[in-house]
Amino acid sequence: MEGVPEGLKDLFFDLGKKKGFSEEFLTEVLTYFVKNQYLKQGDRDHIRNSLRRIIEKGE
Amino acid sequence: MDLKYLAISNIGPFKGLHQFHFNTTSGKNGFAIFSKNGRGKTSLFNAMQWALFGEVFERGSVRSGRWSDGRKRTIVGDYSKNPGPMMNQDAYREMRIPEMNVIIIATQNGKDIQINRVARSRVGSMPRVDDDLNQNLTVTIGEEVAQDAKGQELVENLFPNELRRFFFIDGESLEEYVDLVKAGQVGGIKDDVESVLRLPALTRGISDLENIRSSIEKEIASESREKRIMEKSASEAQSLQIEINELKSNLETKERNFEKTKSRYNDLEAELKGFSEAISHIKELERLRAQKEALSTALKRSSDARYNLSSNAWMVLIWKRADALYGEVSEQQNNIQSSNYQIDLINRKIDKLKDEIEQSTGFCSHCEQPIVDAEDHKSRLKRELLDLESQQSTISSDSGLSMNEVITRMGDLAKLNPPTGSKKTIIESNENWLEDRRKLLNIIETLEKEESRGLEGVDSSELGAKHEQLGQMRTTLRRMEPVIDEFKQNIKRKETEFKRLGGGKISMLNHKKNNTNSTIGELLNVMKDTLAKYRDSARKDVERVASESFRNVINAPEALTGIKIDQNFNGSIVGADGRKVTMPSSGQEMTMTLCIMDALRRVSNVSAPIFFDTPGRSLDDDHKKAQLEYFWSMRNHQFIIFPHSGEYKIEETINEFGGLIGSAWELTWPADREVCEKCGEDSPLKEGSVMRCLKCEEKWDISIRETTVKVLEVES
Repeated sequence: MEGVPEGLKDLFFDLGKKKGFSEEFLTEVLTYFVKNQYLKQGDRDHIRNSLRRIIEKGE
Repeated sequence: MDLKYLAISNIGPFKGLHQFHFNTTSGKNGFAIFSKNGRGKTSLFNAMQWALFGEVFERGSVRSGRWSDGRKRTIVGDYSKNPGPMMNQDAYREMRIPEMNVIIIATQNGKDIQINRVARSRVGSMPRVDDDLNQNLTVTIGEEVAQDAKGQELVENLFPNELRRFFFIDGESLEEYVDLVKAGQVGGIKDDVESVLRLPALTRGISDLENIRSSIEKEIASESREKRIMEKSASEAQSLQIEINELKSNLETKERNFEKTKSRYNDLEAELKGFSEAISHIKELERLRAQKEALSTALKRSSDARYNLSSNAWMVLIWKRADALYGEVSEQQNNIQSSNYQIDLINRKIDKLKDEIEQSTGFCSHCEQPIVDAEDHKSRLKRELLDLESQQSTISSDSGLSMNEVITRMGDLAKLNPPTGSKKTIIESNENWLEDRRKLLNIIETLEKEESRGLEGVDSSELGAKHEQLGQMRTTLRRMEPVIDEFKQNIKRKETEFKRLGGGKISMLNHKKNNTNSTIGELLNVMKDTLAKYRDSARKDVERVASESFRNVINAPEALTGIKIDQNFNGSIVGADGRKVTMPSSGQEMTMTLCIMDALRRVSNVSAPIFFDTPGRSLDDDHKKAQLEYFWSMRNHQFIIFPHSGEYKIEETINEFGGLIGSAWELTWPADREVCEKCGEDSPLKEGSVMRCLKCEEKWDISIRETTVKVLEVES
């Protein structure tokens, strides 16, 4: 996962796995967050829609 | 990401195309672009930013404890301002269609990246403002090609715009950064630090998830309302279903009965098929009897009409005679009326004469003079009177009957006059009666003949009964058909209504959405926990890495042992005793700031070159050298410096750090050339605005302010 601090990734994965999320799901979510982190609030609707699909798919 | 090639065209003092090949094969990450002031170091620095982000800002400053970018630089516009527009002024004036262009070629994880940004006039020569330019970006990453906004998205995935201040470091602004880092101004550098540590991924992600959760909760609430409506509908649908079932059951019974009757009807019809002659005889009898019945009714009707109308028949007969008599009496009435009128007229004349005779005095009634022949006149009046009385007597004696008698007679005769048209209607009713009678008699005769015919070997009464039964069954079937159709229609209507009510089903969507909501809740907890814990662990990581760098760069690592970074990412230098150093020098603070910025880059795991304009500003020689030694030794970042001649001497730097430098260039103007390029003679003669080589007579104009790029030789 490029451009993501190792400490952040490790912590997110550790805590996420404890809650029962798969590594694949956590990777997809974190990559998506990092990729779109600088998009402004007003431009984030499509990000939220895609994120919701990722979560629904991961259930 | 490693930079391999840079080409700029018509930017700042760079007129035309200028190229920079970055030697990446040597494994050395140090790069330097030397020049005197004004030769284009900052223009080159800005050209890189423009190629990557499409915008360049004037030097920023700290306002109210926060960093603030300067104004956006224009590409064209007023060249009398400082800083002026970015496009080369000569190119702007001379080109038919002015154009400014930057191409960057880089590599990351084995993939080639090409970024090409162009600004070209769309109004011909001398565009006045940036809106007169077309600006296009083309980005190629491996096989993928993207233009403009999509291209920008690709660039920013590699090189986030928010982080550019950590990669494009302006030495002139470094003091401002130092102030932010050391002064404990909350909100100063903290936002930038969080950005570089990718905390927005979590903070904005949390906000996104909360937004999604709120949307789902609204959807669930809305669906719950719908569910309640659906439950009500389901209840109605269930009642309807019971009704439909009952109707269907009734329909089945009726259809069964219909089929049973139809079957019996078919059997009976088949049975009666063998008696076709008898059946037709029976049918004929039925027809004749029905006809006889109808005719009897018609005859009774015409007979009644004839009887009623015959009450006037005697009047018709008598009127035949009385009509003439009535005419005579009517004429007498006219005569009497005429005589009476004449008598009345004569009587009025008699009365007038009588009055005149009685009133005759022998004098004129007007002038009272004696009338000469008064007696003769009186005698003539008397004769006229006698004539009139004679006429009256004659007329009176002519009429036989009095007027009263005539009127009485006329009244008596009028009573005998039948109503108008009586004769015609009496005749017509009689004819109708005769016709009906004739028809009835004919039918009776035909019926008697048919009844007397009979059929051999056939029990006509039994056959008749069966035939009658067949008729009844046919009638029954005809009555049943519309009833069954009505049932079917009714069921269809109710089934449509049943479907409209959702067939009694209740949505299960809520369940799925509840699950998603619950997943989001769990994910939010993970993210919030990660954020809380990572903020602190990242701070510690940055502190550790920055301290390590600091010890490498600082000239007294034994006394100044590291950097302390507090909760707000404000830094301070720590001494050997573990305490904060109270009065560090500006060079030490500058070094601390650079080390914190470097630590942030390294902890953030963003792989991109570092561009450092005027890197040696405010540093003493020891720190400047230590800085180059440390940063140029890094294995994972290219470090490109843009020093002016006062900061780092070219020969000195190349001699000392040649082993760490991949490529180096010098930016010069013709006035900077102290050696003849043609023959290498180093003592040219200045003649006004021209330099002349005394050995080969080569001349060059030193008034031209066009930058040329000279590649410097470094240790291979």
